[in-house]
Amino acid sequence: MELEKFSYDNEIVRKFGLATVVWGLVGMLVGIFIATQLFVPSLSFNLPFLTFGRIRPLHTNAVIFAFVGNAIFMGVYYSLPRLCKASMFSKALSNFHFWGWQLIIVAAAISLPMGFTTSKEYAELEWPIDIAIAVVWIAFGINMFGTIIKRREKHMYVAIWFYIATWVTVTVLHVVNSIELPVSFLKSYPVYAGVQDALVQWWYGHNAVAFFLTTPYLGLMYYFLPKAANRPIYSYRLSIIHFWALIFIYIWAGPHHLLYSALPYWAQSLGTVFSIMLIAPSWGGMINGLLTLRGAWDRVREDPILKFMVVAVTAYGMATFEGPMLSLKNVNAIAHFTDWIIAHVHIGALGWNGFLTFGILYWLIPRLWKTNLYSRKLANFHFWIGTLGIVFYASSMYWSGITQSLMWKQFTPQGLLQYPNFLETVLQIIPMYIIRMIGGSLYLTGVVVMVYNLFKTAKRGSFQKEEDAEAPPMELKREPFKKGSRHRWLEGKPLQFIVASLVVVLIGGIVEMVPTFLIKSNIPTIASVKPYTPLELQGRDIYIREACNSCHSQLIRPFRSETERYGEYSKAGEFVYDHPFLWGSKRTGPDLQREGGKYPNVWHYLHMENPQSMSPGSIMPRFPWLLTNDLDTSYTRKKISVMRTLGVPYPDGYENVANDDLTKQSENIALDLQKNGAPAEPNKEIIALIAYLQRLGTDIKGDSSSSVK
Amino acid sequence: MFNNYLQAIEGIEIYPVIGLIIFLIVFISVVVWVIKIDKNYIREAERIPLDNDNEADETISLKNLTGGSNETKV
Repeated sequence: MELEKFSYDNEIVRKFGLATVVWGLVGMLVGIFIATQLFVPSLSFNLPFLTFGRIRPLHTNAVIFAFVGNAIFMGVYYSLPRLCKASMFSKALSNFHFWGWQLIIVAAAISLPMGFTTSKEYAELEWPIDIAIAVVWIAFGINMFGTIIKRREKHMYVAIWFYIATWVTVTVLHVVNSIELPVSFLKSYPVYAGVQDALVQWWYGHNAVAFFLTTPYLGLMYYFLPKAANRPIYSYRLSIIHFWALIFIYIWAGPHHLLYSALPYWAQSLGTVFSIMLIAPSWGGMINGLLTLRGAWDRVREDPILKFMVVAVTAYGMATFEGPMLSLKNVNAIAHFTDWIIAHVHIGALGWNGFLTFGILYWLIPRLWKTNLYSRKLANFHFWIGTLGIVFYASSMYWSGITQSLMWKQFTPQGLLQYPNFLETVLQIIPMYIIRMIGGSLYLTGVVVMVYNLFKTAKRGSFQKEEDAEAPPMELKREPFKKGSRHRWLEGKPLQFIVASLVVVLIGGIVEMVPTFLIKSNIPTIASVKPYTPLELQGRDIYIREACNSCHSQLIRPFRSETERYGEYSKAGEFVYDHPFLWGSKRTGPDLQREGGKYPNVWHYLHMENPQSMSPGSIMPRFPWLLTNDLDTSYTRKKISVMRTLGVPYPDGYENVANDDLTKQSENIALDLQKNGAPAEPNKEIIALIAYLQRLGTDIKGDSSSSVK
Repeated sequence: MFNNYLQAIEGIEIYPVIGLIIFLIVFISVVVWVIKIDKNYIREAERIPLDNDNEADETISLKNLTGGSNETKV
């Protein structure tokens, strides 16, 4: 048969590779910066755009979407054409994808520190950027499926299935979780509220981990691990089961992020059951990866690439065992809201994503530049210092998480909280924060060494933009239908494959989501729960802008240790007007759901100006600009109407008088502050924030003073 | 304590059961498929990533395997 000539585009792989390294450095550096802020809070320099709350999403977004994202694309643009024996569908789309994605990252890097955020974890970007993400993602999809359709290899290798599932599911997740109504160019409210919003968000958040940090990387593992080991995957049959079981089960497990929350009990249990079941396919994948190296462990001792990959796959196994364990309610009761979760995600991020990326880079760069690695010694050094970094990081975070959780729950023999002051439990774990920062720095040092090593490698070689290849065209004639060839049939048909994986993913999504949407009408309305006043709404938006929810939860679980400390546990009906929900996922500071009325206004005023003045030793940054910034009331009207569109029962025409009510309420608060010696003016942002904080959790106390007339 | 919300939805308890049944059906069908797949076909499929005509590529991986002497100098 005649061979067709074509070429592989290495230039796009190089671009994504470079972006991976650059954004990786940035993301990790930002991580170390905010890790240091936790024990040197003055490092925020009293500047809004350097505070922990605003920078933390920058770190998570940079690592997830910039570092890991670019690494995924690097791997896909290298492996997909080679697995398909075809050049990419469109070079123009490849380049559009690359530059579009980098532009989105830059937009995130600017807008997040400026305080433009939706407050939803890993989906913080505001609506114009959400749209840009959708456009670029679709371009990537067209490019990928175009390549798959014009392939010369009949069979779609397992890596390609993982790429397809990734694309399909991320599309669904992104669209569903980003449905929001704009108030202005960079401000929007989600259509979901309270419990529903939380469920949608963690369905998204969990599956972002599954389908952005896991499935594409499994695809890369199934391609690059056999490449590096120069032997086929241990069991191709296992990989088929791995794939279908994984994408089927993962989507169900989202509610395990909301155990003991105001989420209905059955949904929590469903999340737990599917999380436990998830161990099986995850470990199937891990075992498949590790056993690929059976009989080749001598080479693992020599080859840094294989070392990185082995630790990556092992970290995947650890994280996917720990995840289901954390979804058990009794374990979750201890781990949730603490640094344990931080340790868990970093086993995944540093070990699985980081190390697999490094292994691939060490394998790929010498090939793209047609040379050998500059220094194997340095690569080995990187491996060891990186591993040490992970050990330092994880052990300190486990220690601090468990310590703090146990302190929160400790009662005296008399039945009182042993550590009623939250700050005491924070000061106890400060040494762990320092060790964590050292661990992160070791890890970053390794990356810097890698960059040097790869740079030197590239310098000694010569980069080949296009790599020529040839292959016979794909036979179009239908093979006779043989026994057991049904999956083969599916593998030969990319479109059917896409539909099948979409259906599988949607079943999980629908079974999980539909009842929650039905719930809306079934959540018992608590009569005393009223919409926020215009001033409180403005204060809430400041709370969101400063990302207070990065460190403070608003969700009291039904434990005695929590009701003793914070007050009555949270009820689903209390959040019906919360667009978005602000439950938070980490308590670096105390829960704030029942903050209203706990302290006088002046306490909040002074505390925002300098937390250490009210709580000596506090690690909260200062927010002095809140005292001097004028509150922007020009959007009050729009905000009220958007909220009404979303179902918040503001009376008709209320938006016209909203600012009058706002002024009245802020004058009252300012008067109270002035009486107590604080030089407060009614038109400052701090007034709105205080109004919101004093409202928090007061509804069910039957306090009607702050409700809308 | 949240059971009252869930009880308000008719037939809610069937949801997880339906989910489990769907999952089991899919899972069992996949396992059956996988067992039935032709051996030669598997052998062919799993070698796709290794199926590389590029000579230069092979030389590099061979050097890597043998601990390529020129890579260790720093």
